[in-house]
Amino acid sequence: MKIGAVTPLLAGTVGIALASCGSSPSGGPSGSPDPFNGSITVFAASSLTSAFNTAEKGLELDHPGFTAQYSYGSSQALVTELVSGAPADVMVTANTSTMQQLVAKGLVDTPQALCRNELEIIVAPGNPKNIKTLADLATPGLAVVLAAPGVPVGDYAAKALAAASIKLTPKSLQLDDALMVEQVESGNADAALVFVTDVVAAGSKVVGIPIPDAQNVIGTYEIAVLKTSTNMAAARAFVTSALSGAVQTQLLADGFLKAS
Amino acid sequence: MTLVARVRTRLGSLGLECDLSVESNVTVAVLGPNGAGKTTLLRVVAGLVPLDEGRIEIDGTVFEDTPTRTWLTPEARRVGFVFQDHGLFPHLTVLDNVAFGLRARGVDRTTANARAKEWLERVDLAGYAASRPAALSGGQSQRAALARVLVTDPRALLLDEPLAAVDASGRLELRRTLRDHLSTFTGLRLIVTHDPLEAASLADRVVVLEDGRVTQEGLFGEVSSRPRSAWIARMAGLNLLRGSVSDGGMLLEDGSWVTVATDVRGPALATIQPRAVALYRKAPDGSPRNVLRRSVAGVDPEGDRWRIRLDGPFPLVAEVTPAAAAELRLAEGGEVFAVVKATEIDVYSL
Amino acid sequence: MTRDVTRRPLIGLMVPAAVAVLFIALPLIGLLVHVDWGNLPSQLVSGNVLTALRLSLECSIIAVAVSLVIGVPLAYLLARASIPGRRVIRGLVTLPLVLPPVVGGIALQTALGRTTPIGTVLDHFGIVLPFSTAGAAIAEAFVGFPFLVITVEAGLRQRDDHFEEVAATLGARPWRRFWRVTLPLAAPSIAAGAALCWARALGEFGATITFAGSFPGTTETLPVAAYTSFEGSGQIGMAITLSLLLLAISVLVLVVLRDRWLGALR
Repeated sequence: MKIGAVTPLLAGTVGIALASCGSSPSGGPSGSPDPFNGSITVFAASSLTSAFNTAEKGLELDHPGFTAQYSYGSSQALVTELVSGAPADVMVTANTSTMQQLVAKGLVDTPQALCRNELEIIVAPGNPKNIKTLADLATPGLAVVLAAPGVPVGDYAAKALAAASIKLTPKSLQLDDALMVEQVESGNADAALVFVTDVVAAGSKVVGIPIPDAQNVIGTYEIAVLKTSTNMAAARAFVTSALSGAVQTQLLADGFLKAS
Repeated sequence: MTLVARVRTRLGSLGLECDLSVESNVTVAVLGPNGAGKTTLLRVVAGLVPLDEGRIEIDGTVFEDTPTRTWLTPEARRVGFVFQDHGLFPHLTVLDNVAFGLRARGVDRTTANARAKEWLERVDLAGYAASRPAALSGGQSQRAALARVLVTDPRALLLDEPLAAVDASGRLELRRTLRDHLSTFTGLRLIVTHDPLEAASLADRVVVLEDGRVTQEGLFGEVSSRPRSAWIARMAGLNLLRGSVSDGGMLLEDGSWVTVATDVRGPALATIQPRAVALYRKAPDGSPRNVLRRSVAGVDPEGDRWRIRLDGPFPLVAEVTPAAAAELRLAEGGEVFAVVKATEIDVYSL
Repeated sequence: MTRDVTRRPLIGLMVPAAVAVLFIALPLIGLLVHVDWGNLPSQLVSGNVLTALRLSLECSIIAVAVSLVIGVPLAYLLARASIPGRRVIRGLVTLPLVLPPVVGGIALQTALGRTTPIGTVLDHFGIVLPFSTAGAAIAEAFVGFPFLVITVEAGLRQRDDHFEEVAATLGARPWRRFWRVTLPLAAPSIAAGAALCWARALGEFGATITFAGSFPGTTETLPVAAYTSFEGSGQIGMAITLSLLLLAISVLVLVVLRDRWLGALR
């Protein structure tokens, strides 16, 4: 995408954002139609499930006549679907490399950093195996599960372990964060490396062991509007809310870090 | 060796209630219409169907005794059962089939196969040892089934409709084979059949079973000449009358009256041979004969003897030549007069 | 066209039948079209693919073996014996067919996981099923075994116990009747059931990845590897290659060998 084309688009987006900033819940200043109208489809990395679903309720209350359908999955799988022509309006990935694939194919407007997430170790309540640090994960005999390469949280985990020179042979390379939490919760896995937000979502079912910033990897989520969107106005409004509106508030409440 | 059976059992709608006794030097045929319970009787003796009440024993070995709840499993009874469809195992060769019973009793393969081969030669099937049962004709598979049973030296031989699964051309040969093997078998022999010819040719004694009960038993000749039930009479090709005899006549069940010549008095049965029934279109007069007014129900042409079925208070069958049938125009039906001489009516006590 | 009037295909039925053939053939043709034929040979011999293949064959064969050993006796009892609660048991057997496979995997966890009573006992002997090859085989057996039981039970029900009676009168006791008469006569339906079970076990993904996890060399069977390629690293080409391999094996065994086995059993 040429820089020249980006500017008007950014300007337009900012414009709408400013317009809706000071507006009443039911829409823009009297006279201009509420962009939050009709329905849109949002493809989002599965770690966003809880936050987006909660935020959606608020959005629909504030903007009757608007509804967003969410399709959650692994960032890579969603990108593959979009490349194959699946219809959607907004895409949110858990890392930048998968979003890049869409950019390279010219399928999206310029992506923006939505929020960030960092890793945390999860263990069963009571921490029976007494895991305190990242290095403890390499203890022989421990059943640790990681996410598979290509899955954002899996890549981040691999990066963190490599940076700390920890050689870890996991018992399994999963594709689904929720499944990893379930395996720790049920006691079949002793520990897993997941996102902080996964720990928040799991509540008291698991215990999170924070990783010091020096060892932690912080991943950036990106959001973009698809050029093939059939409801541009609503798509852009959603992106705005996600970047700085009600949706962003929900993301932060759920444990995501600000984009910068 | 003697089989004594007191059988009371119910299978579905059939109630089987009979007492049976079989000696080892007398082949007994249980004869009766389909559904009479003949196969069930055989299955009860073999142990495939339990008794509701009764007792079965052979020379002191109790197969089943309901009061004491004794029951011997089929595999322990050492009874040779030849099933109606012969029951050769389709997945085994003929030789393995014949050796099956021996192998089941723990005989080693070599000995079992050798004895099976001997028996295959005795039933003239030596060349078929390696064949599958599907390759055998009806008669051949019956002989194989017989060999399979006889090789195990059973104490009794039970044959269920032995000639049923064999076509007409093979029956003559098979009947002869069966007679030979039955006569050399030293144990008890019990056959069931619905075919009087099978009973007559294979058995010494006949037990007639109808609707679960024994209606008559004795030598085949006796039974067929002096039938005690409508079925037997039909099987023997005779007309059967039932009634009571007093001076000069017999009052039949339906109230009609026939003149008879006999010393028998009181409740009696009487048979009339179909060929002794003469037919006229007009009532004849004269001599002391029974004249019965009837109508023609049907004509069954059978070679040079046409059987004419007559409707009336009791069923009657007459036998006439084709020429006579044509002359009387019996095919058109209508009223006829059936005439029977008193001397042609064979009366015997009930 | 045959001269035999009743064997000529009914025109009216040919249309839906043709749709059926297309229904199966088109996706397969689509798969074949998208195969990167140039890269195929090098992809096939890459370490991961051969390992996944070996693992798939190992686990699926174990799954069939387990299903045969426990499934045939069950099928026999359901078909021939008058045990109480037959209907309930039959319903239970079909459960893995209707359960989403991932749910099946979680169910296996709750029964055989490390913290369960059975799991604790196994742990004593050093056997931990989750994340193990044995666990993958069990997950595959769980989803495949209903096919075996249902097929064999149907086959046994088709025949009455006439030959078993014949065997009894010849002096064969119950165990001998089962081994020498019932089983051989049931061989075609056992073979068919085993083939279906094997095909299902080979293609199983959800229960495997949930209960046994996914790790190259231990539990990453062909379907799991295919899905991981697709969902994880986005290597669609590799995913298609692995799927093609699965397809080829299944076709080889089910189509080519099936007729020979069943022919020999007749």
